Amino acid sequence: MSADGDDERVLVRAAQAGDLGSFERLYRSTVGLVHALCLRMSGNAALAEELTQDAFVRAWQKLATFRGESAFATWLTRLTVNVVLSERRERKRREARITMAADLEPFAGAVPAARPGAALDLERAIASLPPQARHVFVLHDVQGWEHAEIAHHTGLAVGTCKAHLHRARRLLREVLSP
Amino acid sequence: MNCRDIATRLDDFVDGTLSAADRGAVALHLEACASCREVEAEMRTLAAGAAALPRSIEPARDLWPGIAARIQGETVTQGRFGAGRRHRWHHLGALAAAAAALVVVSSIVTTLIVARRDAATAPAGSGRRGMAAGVTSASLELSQARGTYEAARRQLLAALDARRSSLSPATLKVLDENVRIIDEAVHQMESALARDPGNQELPSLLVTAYRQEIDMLQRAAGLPARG
Amino acid sequence: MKRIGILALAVAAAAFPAVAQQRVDEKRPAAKDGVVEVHNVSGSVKVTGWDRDQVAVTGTLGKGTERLEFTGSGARTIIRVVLPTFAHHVDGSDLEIMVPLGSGLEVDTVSADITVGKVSGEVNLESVSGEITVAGAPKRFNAKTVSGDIEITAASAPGRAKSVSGGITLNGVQGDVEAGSVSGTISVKGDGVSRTDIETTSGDIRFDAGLAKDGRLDAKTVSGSVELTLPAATIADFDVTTFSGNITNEFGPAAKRTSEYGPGRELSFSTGAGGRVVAKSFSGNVHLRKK
Repeated sequence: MSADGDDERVLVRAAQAGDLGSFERLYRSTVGLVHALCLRMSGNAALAEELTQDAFVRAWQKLATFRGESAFATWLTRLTVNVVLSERRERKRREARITMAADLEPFAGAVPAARPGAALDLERAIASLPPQARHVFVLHDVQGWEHAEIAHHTGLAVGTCKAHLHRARRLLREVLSP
Repeated sequence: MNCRDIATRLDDFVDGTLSAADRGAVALHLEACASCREVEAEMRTLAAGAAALPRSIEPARDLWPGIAARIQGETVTQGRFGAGRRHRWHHLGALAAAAAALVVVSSIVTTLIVARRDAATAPAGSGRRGMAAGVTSASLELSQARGTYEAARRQLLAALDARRSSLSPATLKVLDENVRIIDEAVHQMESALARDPGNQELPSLLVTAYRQEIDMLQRAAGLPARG
Repeated sequence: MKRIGILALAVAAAAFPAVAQQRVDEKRPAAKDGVVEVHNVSGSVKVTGWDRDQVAVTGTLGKGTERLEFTGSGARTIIRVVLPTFAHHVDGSDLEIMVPLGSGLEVDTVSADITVGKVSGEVNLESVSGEITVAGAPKRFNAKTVSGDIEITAASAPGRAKSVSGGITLNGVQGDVEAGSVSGTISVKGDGVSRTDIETTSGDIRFDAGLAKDGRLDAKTVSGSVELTLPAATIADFDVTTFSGNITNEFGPAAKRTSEYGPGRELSFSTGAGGRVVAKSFSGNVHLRKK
């Protein structure tokens, strides 16, 4: 169920004026995109649901700032990335975990230990990447963002982003063909 | 360039963002080096696979109720049995808790039925018949059961609503249809009871219907995703 | 296989419909009276008892299945068809499982049919839309579905069968049995039923069996029709009430109105001290028939 360009403009304007029903229709047509992004960026199904909700709530709050320079989905995607990344910063601050080796986050959800020799499914492989490498990989290789944009959102230098991408690709290649 | 130089440039090469000068040098090396070619091929396959991943993945359940609730600043579920406690809508955690709490409700309703059934095991014809219209012990128990049933039913229906998108359309159809059947049955019996308040049999049938609905909705709340 | 080949396969597995179905053929030792737990979302599950202290699984895993988990300590064996986390499309798996005769069973499916035979432990089966069929003599049965039909042919087991809209058929039942459905038809057949409790909202109830001495039959419905067929020589107290349905009785006395002024019919009579037959409905008709 997708709203095409004109429909979308009408819905957005109505939602900006406070009409929740219109916002719900925008939700229905974009939730899959937002959720997929949250799922891949966080690698955790339960967290992805919370992040998806957070993203839409934030979108409602910031709706006035959307001026139609891009498609609604594009604006929403950028907003979602910010929500995901700032949630992670928040959590890191709270937990103040000190791990040297690339802070490997356990992938919540039943990931059985891969049997030796078995190739992992790509989605799960991405989920098992260290967070920053995973974020950059998802944004660059899955979402198709450019390094400049990724750097802007993550606050990392372009060179650092490239290093994370390189690392992600290397890890994925290793994990996918043992 | 040697293989190590290539390794640091391959990402940009595959992404098409390498400078023109470097691009030529990398291409030249790849022509002659099978192992770097293999790495390049792997990278391209990986990139293609990543780009081909589905852009949209629907969440296992409908998240809109929670979102709407936060936007409107009110809770979605009422406090348990009118306690009015505010709590944030937590997805499956709360559903599981609600379903569990209602096991208690269901057993209260069941206890009433058992009590009625035991009362009804008196031998046939021994004065069970038509008492004075108005308050009977049966109707007292019934109003208790009714209150518990209605609260439980509301919560369970809300829980089912929240899970709609994770259940198959076929299952949803069966559940919706049968909720309708029970509601219709309850409605008819309540109307009949209103016209014939002294009736001894109707309360027991009603409580049975309440119990069937709660059992069914509890089961629905606990069905697996894709069920 | 070249690295790139494996990588391509793994990548393709995620992005595109997955690899072909796989055959399964595995065995594990198991206690002669342990519990075997089976989880399979769709396809079919067929469990049969055999005279070995072993659980054997054969069959095919559907396309897209991640793998079969087959573990256990002897006292409990677990068989689970594992699906990928972000499953886009997965075909059902068909499993044929041999278990020690004395095993207990716990089977859980969504749409996979469940068939159980020759198992004498306690059998607990749950499905949403799959059909459940049990033959043989389990110690006790417990079957639950939403829309799947349930058919139990189990010599003398006590047990319980519940559905929302699936039909329930209990054959050759003798022990203490409970059957409940909202709109499914419930049919009970047997010889010396000792206690049967049947409940529906709109589903029909068909009881065609003999009562054990002192046996008890309770049938309750809102709008389903109730047909109780009992041997002519049944010795029991009969107690039938309906609010707005009709009552017909081949055992003799006719039903009476409960009150001159209100609706309702009732029928209370006895053919001797012994069993008890109770049938209640709101609007459904009740028929007592002689075999």
